[in-house]
Amino acid sequence: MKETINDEIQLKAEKNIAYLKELLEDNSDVIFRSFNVGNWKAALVYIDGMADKLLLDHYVLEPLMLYPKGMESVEQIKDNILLVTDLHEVKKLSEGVNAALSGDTLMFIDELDCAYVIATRFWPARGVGDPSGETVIRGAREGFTETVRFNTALIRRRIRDTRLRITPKAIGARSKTDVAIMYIDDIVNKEVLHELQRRIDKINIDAVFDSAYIEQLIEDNKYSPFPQIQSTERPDVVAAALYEGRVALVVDNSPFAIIVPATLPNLFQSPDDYYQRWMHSSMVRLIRMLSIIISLTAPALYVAITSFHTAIIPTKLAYAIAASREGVPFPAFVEAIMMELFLALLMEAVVRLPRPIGATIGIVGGLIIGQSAVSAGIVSPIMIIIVAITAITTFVTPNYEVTAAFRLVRFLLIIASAIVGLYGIVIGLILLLIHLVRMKSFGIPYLAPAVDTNIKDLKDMYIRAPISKLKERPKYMKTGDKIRQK
Amino acid sequence: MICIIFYVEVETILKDKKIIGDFGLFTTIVVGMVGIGIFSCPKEVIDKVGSDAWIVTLMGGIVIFLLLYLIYMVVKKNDFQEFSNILQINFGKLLGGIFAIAFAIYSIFIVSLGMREFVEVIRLFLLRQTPSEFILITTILTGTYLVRGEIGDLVKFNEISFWIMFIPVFVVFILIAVNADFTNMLPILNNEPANYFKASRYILFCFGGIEIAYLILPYVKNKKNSLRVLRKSIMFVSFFYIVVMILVLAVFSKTQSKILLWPTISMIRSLYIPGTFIERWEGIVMALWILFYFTTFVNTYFFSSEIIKNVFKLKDIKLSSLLIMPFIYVIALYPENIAEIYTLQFKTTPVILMAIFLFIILPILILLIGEVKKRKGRGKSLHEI
Repeated sequence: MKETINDEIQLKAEKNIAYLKELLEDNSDVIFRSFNVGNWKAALVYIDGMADKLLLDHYVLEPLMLYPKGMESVEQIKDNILLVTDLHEVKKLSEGVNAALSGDTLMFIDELDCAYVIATRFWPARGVGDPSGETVIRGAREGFTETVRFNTALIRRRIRDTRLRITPKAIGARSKTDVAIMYIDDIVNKEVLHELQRRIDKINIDAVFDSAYIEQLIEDNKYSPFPQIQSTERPDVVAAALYEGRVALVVDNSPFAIIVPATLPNLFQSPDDYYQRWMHSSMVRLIRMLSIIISLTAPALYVAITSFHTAIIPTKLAYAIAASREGVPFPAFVEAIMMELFLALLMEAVVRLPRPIGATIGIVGGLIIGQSAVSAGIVSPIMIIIVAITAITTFVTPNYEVTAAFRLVRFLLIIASAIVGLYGIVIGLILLLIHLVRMKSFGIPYLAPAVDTNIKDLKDMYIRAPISKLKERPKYMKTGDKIRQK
Repeated sequence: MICIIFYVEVETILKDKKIIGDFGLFTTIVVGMVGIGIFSCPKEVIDKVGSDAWIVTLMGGIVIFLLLYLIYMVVKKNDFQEFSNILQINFGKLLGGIFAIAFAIYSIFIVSLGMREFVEVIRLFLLRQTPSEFILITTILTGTYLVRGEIGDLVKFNEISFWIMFIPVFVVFILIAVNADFTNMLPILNNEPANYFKASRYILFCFGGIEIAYLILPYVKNKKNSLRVLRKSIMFVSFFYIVVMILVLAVFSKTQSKILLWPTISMIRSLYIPGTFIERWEGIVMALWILFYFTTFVNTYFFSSEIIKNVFKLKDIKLSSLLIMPFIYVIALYPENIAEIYTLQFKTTPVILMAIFLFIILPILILLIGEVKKRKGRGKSLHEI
């Protein structure tokens, strides 16, 4: 998979160019430009479309070709003539080739045993836009873009601290995708950091297209539906996580940064929780918790109660349900699975379609089919209500991946309740709890701070205490510097 | 090379094995003790001592605390080692191993009988037509899933279960108390002394499960605090049982409590809150009780698996838990009916003798041996000087 490149840089520029031409043959976008600097021969190599041609013309070629007089040694070219700020030497040809392939310009000059890399990366990029997946009512409207450097800058703007570290890494034997590992040196949990670096070094893949690839390659438990790493397109979320002692990974070509470790209570939080007043945020958090329980159990409870435990609910309600189910040919279980599948289909369809058609699908799918299904006697109206409640409560959770995981669990609970009723639901929930309890994200318990409880952490979990009361960083993160405010 | 790496890993695991905080210790003891006994206990106790049931419960709590204190002393005197190690150090490899296995068998026996009772309760109130075997197998398998993890996972599970269990239950209790008649608790101290002893047998079984302290104490982070935490957990459990006794008495009076098979369930059944969505609460509460039994079961299961693992030097707990699984199943299916479960639990002399031996004689023996060894050691060192 890995390519072997002759690392030696020849003293003649022409020889280097000849070698590179052979290496990169049949490539229309690689530009080789040979020219004279006084008595020396020189050559430039760059990729058309990724390098800034104007910069090369005006600040590299123009001074070199027009004013090379009075030059005594070849070292003076760098010190006296080249008008670019970001320039460094490479001793190995492979490093130079990598730089050229990522948009920098490689420069060879006769009599030099090294090559110059001029930073000329420039390509059409999407500007900083709204983070459409994580909207907030109050707070920054900036979202990450596809360029790793812009993204690190967005984070750096929020952490003007000398102790912020942005260490580079290239992942993918062929794609050589730039990845930046970010953390604040004296706050970060060192064990998490080392574990992350170890896992990243173990990655041996040809290409990564998105941070999702890396996320799936380094997560703890591959056989769990739950996301164990947080992904976000908001720089303020990343900055806040760094201040809590977590580590962030910014990946080139991906507008999503990933944050490790993630805990489940963490994934239920939205940046808005901190931007709104604390009472409101606390209430929202409690409602979110309630809505998760409802969305998990509502259809399963319906199946259990209608097929096993009709005695639990009041007689009048039992009659009402029975009356509404009269004429429905399917058992409650089939009805529930059918409607849940339909809901899943609808959600998937709306995501994939362009927005104007998405609305049509919503109306046709939700309103018309729902209404007609009831009047045709295929589903009972109560089932429609249950599915609607489930859908709404699902969307209260800010994280899509958690929602998807809980949707899967919901299906399993419906099946369990169809077999053994309430007992099945409880056993299913116990299994879920055991699964969550056994999981860890980079050594941090997945359910922290709900387990290994430290009373101080609870101020920022079920509720969100006033910011003036949140004086310490989360205990469960085992951070270096522990105090946030005095 | 691989061996060395493995050894290093084991070393690191041993190094940071002190992982359990105070709250973890508290909840583990509490959820390990509060189990299925709570259904039948009030009937037996009220049958013997009538309205003095809560006094017997209080006394039971004190006795249990003394027994737990014995356990604590045993573990403390042996440098917070694991239980099977303690036994093998004090009694030698063979005898210590036999005692450890006896402990595991006894725990499994009691918890399996509890399992059968649990299955019967579930069948009666939730699933009339489902075969017992199905409920048994699903519960055991669910427990195995947790036991195959680490001890830290078990404690985390206990911590979360604690809230799920006790918050709704205390809410239900308050609602019941509103309609209860507390004059039923009179008269006080109106029984022959012998009856108190007879009743205490049942209440002590109800408090069963303290052996989990052997498992958990070696892993506790803050050792100085643990005795205080143990006292707190016993106080909590005693308080809980006393509340149950008082409520059962207050709702049913002693004459009626004697007739009912599971007075606690009947009491919840009598709960009626006008205008609520749910009419018969026993179904919902039964669902909750699954967790109550499950925590007791899974803690004991883990404890026994750990003992078997250590005594037979098995590689990990996954294997030993698999070995125990069929025994739970067979013992749970052995009794013909509920009456037989109670006979096996309370009226079989070998079981009672075993309990007395394991919980009273064995710890005292260990302490005595430790004392003797210490004196010998001191004598030796003096001699050497």
